Parts: sequence; C-alpha cells; structure tokens
Amino acid sequence: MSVATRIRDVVSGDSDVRTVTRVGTIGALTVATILVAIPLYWMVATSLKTSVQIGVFPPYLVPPTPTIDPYVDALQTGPWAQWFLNTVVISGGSTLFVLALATPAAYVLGRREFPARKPIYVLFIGILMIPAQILLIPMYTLFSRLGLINTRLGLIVAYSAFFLGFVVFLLHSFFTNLPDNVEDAARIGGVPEWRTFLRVILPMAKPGIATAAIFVFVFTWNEFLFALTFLQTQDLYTISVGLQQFQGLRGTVVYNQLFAMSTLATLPLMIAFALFSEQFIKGMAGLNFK
Amino acid sequence: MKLEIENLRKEFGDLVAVDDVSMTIEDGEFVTFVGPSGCGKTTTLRCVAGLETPTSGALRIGGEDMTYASPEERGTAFVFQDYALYPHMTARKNMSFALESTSMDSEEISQRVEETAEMLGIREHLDQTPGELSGGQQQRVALGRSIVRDPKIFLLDEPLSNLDAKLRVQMRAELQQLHREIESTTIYVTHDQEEAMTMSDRIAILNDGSLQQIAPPEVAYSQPANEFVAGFIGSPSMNFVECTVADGSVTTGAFSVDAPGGAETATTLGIRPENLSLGHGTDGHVDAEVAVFEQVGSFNIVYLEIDGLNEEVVAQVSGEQQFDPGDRVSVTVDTDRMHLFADDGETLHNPPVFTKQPAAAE
Repeated sequence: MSVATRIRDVVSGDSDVRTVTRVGTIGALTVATILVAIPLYWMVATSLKTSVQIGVFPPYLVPPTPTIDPYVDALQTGPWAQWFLNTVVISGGSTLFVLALATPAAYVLGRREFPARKPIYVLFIGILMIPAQILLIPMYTLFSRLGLINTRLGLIVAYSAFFLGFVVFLLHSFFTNLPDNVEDAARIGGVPEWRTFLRVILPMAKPGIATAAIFVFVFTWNEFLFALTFLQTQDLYTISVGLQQFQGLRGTVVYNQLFAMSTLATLPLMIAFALFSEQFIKGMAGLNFK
Repeated sequence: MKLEIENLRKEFGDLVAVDDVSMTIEDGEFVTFVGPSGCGKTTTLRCVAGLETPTSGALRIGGEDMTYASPEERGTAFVFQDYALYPHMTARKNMSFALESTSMDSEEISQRVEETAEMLGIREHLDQTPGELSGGQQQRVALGRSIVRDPKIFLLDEPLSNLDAKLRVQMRAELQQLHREIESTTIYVTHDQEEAMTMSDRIAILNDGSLQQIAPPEVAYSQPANEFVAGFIGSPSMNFVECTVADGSVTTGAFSVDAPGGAETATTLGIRPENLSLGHGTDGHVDAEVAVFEQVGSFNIVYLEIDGLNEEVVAQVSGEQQFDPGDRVSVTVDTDRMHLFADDGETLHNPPVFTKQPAAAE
C-alpha cells in the first residue's frame, strides 16, 4: 500500500475502521504464528545440539555446532522404521475407515428426507460430547473380549468410533451447503443414484472430505493415551508411544534424541499439510455450521 | 407428447401446495404456469417430472398412466431456476453425463452434444466448466443438457429469472425459436406475466394451489375468469372500483355508465389503465386530480385521485400526453372494455377478445 492511499484511508472515517481491523487481524495472526512456531523451532534446534549443549544456562538459541548425532543415536534405540510404519497404517486406516462410513452417512443426513432424520443426526452430535478418557476402560474391557487389544485393527476401530461423530458433523454442514437440485437434475436424466453420488456429489464435496481427512490423520498420528493402553507388544508401537522411552529409561530424559525423533515424526504431517493446504483452506471456508 | 393432469393434489404436511388441478396439454403445445410465489406452479411441475409424488390425482403422458412412474420412465427434461449444473464438469460433460448411463454408444453421444451445442451457440465453450461461463452461457448449457436427451416433455422452472433484463428478453425469443424447431410439449413456469404473455400458446394462472384459468394469452387478458386473473395479468394492473348495478347502469361513488346485460349482481367494476383516457376539458365521465405522473417513454402512467372515489385509479396514456401532479383532468371510461365481477370474484361480464384484423382488400 502506498503512503498516499494509506493516508487517504486514515482520513476517511470508513476505511479508518478497516485499517484498525486490518492491524488487529495481522497482529493476532502474528501472535498465533509465534506461539506455534517457537515450540517447533525449539524442537528442531534442540535435536541438533549435543547433550552437553542442552544443559547450558542461558540456553543456546541457535545450536553452536549443529550435529545430526542425536538422530543417528536415537534411531538405534528401537525399531523406528517399524513404529513409523505402524503409525502410517493406523492413521491411514482410521482416516479411510472413518471417511468410508461418515461420508455416506453425512450425505444422507444432510440431503435426504426420511423419518427420524433429525434425531439420528443429534445422536451423532452426541458422540462428540463424550470425553475419550471416560471410554478408555470400558473400551479396553470390550476390545479385550473381542481379541482386539494389542492389534493395529483394534486401534483403528477405536479411533474410527471417536471420529465418526465429528466427521459426520463436519461433512453434514458441507453437504447441506452444496447447490440444490443437482441430484434431481441427474435423477431426471435417469442417472443411477450410486453414480450420482460417486460422480457428482463426491467431487463437489472434495474440499470438505480433504479437511476431515487431515483432521483425523493429524489427530490419530499424534494420539498417545489409547495407543499406549491398547498396544502392548513393542513391535506394534506407534511413534508417539515409542517416543516415551526417551523419558525415564535411564532416569533422565534424553532431550536431543527425543526431539530428533519428534522432528522426524512431525515432518510427514507438515509435508501433507503443505500439499493439501489449498483444499484444507477451501474446506474450512466452505463450512457453515447451522 | 400429450400430457393430462387430473385432479392433482399435493400436500406437504398441513400445507396444500396444489389443490385439485386438472388440465390437458396437447402435443407440441407451449403452456406457461404463472402465478405469485407459493401458488403451486413449481410443485405442479415437479409432480409432472416425478420429483414429487402427488397426494392424489393422476398424470398421463401420451395416454399412459405415469402418476407413480420414476422420473426417467416419464421421459421429461427439467431446467432448474439455478440451472443445477455439475460445477466440476465441463459443459460437454454436463450435457453427456446422463446419456452415459444409457445404452447409447459414445460416438452418438458426442455427436448429439456437438449438434445441440451448435444449435445453442455454445460450441466454443464446451470444454469450459460452469464457473468459467457467463449466466447466459450456463443457461444454454442447462438447456442443452435437456435437449440432448430428446425428451417428450420439456419442463422449465423459471429458467430466465437469474439473467439480467436485456439477456432475458433475448433468451425469451431464443426459447420460442427453439420450441418451434424442436416442437416438443413444453411447460414453462414463471412469475413474470410478461414472459407468460409473450411466449405461450396458452397460459395457466394459478393461485393458492388452484388453477384459476387456462387460456390463450389474449383470452386471459380480455376475458379473465375472475378478479384474481384480471388483476394478475396486465401491467399496470387493472383498476377495481366498488359499484352497484341498477336500472341499466353501473354506478360507482363518482360516476355512472351504461350497464351491459346479465351483470345485475356485480359489485366490482374492473377497468384497465389503457381504457381510461384523460383530457383537459369537462366532457369526460368524471373529474380527477393527477397524484403522480410516471414518465415511461412510449407510454406514460398517471395515478389519479378521482373526486368521490376512495380507490386510487391508474391510467395509461400515450407518450405525448404529459401531466404534472396537481393537474385537473377529465376522465373518460371506454365503456366497451369494462369488466364486471360478482362479490365472490367471479366474472359476470367481459369485453370481446381482440382478433386479427382481416387484411385490407387490394
């Protein structure tokens, strides 16, 4: 913005308000960015320090002699490749499973008339209000009877159950905002219903589905409590459970190795977000909770 | 294909959207449903298309009972008000999508799409998505999507209401041209009575879910079946003045004119704005003061306060006649063009329909 326009904006009362709003918005976003960026930076910075440099006070803001030794050492501490794979399978599986169930459900609840439509939707919303911690013990008991404890499938089922309500809620609002009549237009043309759903509705709902997918994937990627409780064999651990061993294994926390593995664990998410950020933003903008 | 609607009724819960509507639409006819918002015209159309199931009544297409048939069995095409195009597909794909679910081979599909696009003048836009097209082009794609299916009956639900005024007039002419080429039975829904008057073979006027009149435009205009039709068709609207009929004359609060026969129980006199003429003398039926003068151009509109009348009366005068608010004028009623209505709104007297003048003999 040139100085001239800025002055003009300030002089005219109307844009004055807009300038204040703009400054406020930019300020708030800057604070939010700093709050998110500092821990991330500290994690990466610490992962490049030697164990001696970590203990120094005042701490080094920038590692004085960056080293990748913590990464090399940390990778020796366990079957990290296996844990990484487990996490991919469990997160990916949960995401696919939830979407496969929630997308048709949200579509029908959002765009079709049938008896008890509202109560059923409220039931899905109700799932959102149950804290996960309350379900931990009952689910453990139930799953152990079903032989699902200490399996990847068990964790996928558990995660899917949690996210079903949330994803139905999210996609429901997305489906209700799609233009009216597109199904009718296809129906009059004699297009089978399943084809209309796959070829017309799903492509239109892509931003919403991408948003839901990212939410589920990120949360299940980071999830700790259920993974720790349900997975008992070391071979089945996810990364978040694996990271725990740096803590208290020898009485102290090995921070540089912990942060090295944390950095590696965060990387795929950052890459995924960068790839889908446009869809994600479109999805968030398209949401209209009513 | 001939369409018969018999005692059609559609309820949504307590609301009666369509109430006992019956009509027969002949093969190749262009019929317009017109009426105010919520009059049931779109619901009737959706019942014909099979998008709504009638509560009672029957529908026959080409003599075959289709009351409960699925939309695709009926062979109708529907153009929606908001077009309902598939936003992620190109215009070409929008038009071919439904055909791809049929047994038609892909070569014929693409040939049909090309031909239709040619006819509608959108050939160069076939590979664009709806978002890249203007409103008029989207409208044409929506029409094209219907035409490629070669439907027995075209159903158009306010297809022009999202276009700007100029484009609307242009598309109106194009639609008529298209109807002449395709010759398929067409039902056109609109709330714009000008569209109804200009486009149709017959217009069906609906109000509160029931059919008021179905007639050719000139008949609906000159011989409305009741007060509602009289007031709805024509712009500016017909003037209605309270009256009594006795001893061969119609008497209002301000003036008396000779009464036609058979209208003794009339309580309302209807007179169209163009059937009032204004002069500066005192030789008219009644004197009035100009309240508002609206300059239109080819004609002008004058709002009058007639001495002794509570109702405001509107007159339409030729473009050269100019007035100012406050002017005193003398009003003459064209007594050949009066309408008389009974207390329940039914018509008791109508003027004759205007007919084509016979060509002058050379």
